[in-house]
Amino acid sequence: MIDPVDLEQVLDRELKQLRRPQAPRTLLPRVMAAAGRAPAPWYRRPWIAWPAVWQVASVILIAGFAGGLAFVPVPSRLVDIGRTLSGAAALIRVVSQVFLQPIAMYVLVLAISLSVACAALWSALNRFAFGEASHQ
Amino acid sequence: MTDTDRFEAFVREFQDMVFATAVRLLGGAAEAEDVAQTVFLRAFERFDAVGTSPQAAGWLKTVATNLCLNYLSRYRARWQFFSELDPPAAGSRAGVSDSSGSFAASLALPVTAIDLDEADRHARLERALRGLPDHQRVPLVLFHFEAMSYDQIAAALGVSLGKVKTDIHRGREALKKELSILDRSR
Repeated sequence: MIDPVDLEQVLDRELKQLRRPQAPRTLLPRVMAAAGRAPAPWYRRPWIAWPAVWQVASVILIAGFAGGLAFVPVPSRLVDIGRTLSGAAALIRVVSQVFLQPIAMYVLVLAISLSVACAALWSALNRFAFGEASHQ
Repeated sequence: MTDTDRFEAFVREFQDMVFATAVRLLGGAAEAEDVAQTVFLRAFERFDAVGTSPQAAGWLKTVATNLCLNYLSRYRARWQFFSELDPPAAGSRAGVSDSSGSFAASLALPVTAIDLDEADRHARLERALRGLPDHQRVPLVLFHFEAMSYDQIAAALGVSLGKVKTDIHRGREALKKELSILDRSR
């Protein structure tokens, strides 16, 4: 018969002598499979997939940073550099109007076509070569 | 070693501890496995911080305990109701199937073997513990296995201190009967 006064200690000793239950063998594969399907942490996702709070915070931060830059006094040397760059920009503008604008449309169409072709090729590879189709 | 390998090693290291915490709090292996999976997915989401932390075990245990308590309060609404009943009426588990049978049934089992070895003794005590009704088992497990005080248990469960003491006392009395049976069989 166990004395009621000692019951707590007796039970404590008995319970702590119990072997720790072992996890079933199915747990590890379940966890790994679920982890494979789990989305990456928000900070590893594209900005568009971040939580709304972080999106808003990041926009505010960047806007604050950009706004803060406007109030930073610009050194005179930087002003000189700006003027030089402005002259260079004017030169580039003239060159582009003379040489690049006539072919710009063709370059754009070519770039879009190549992008679409690459996307189609990647999709086909993904589906047939890497086995995405077998998972569906 | 890839991140996947590191996470797998992490799960291997802590899976028994997490599962043991869950199965003793919930009383059922299937539910405990679900909760353990959720615990490790939480760890996976912040594995950069948790994976290398020396407090990983404590963090996992805390998350497992909280998830189990959430589970119990969410899915076993009869917790409060049963806790107000007398132990014999509350002996049946609240809506959970248990392959090992109810505690009352385990008490009624005739002990035919004269020499129960230590493993059998532990197995029966473990079964009796898991067979306790939720409102007795959970505070008992928190007290004896998680080293929580009565006050902490009352705060964690959202019940009064008196109720925690009463439930733990009743749980101990029930386990005492099991121990008496085991001692008599020696």
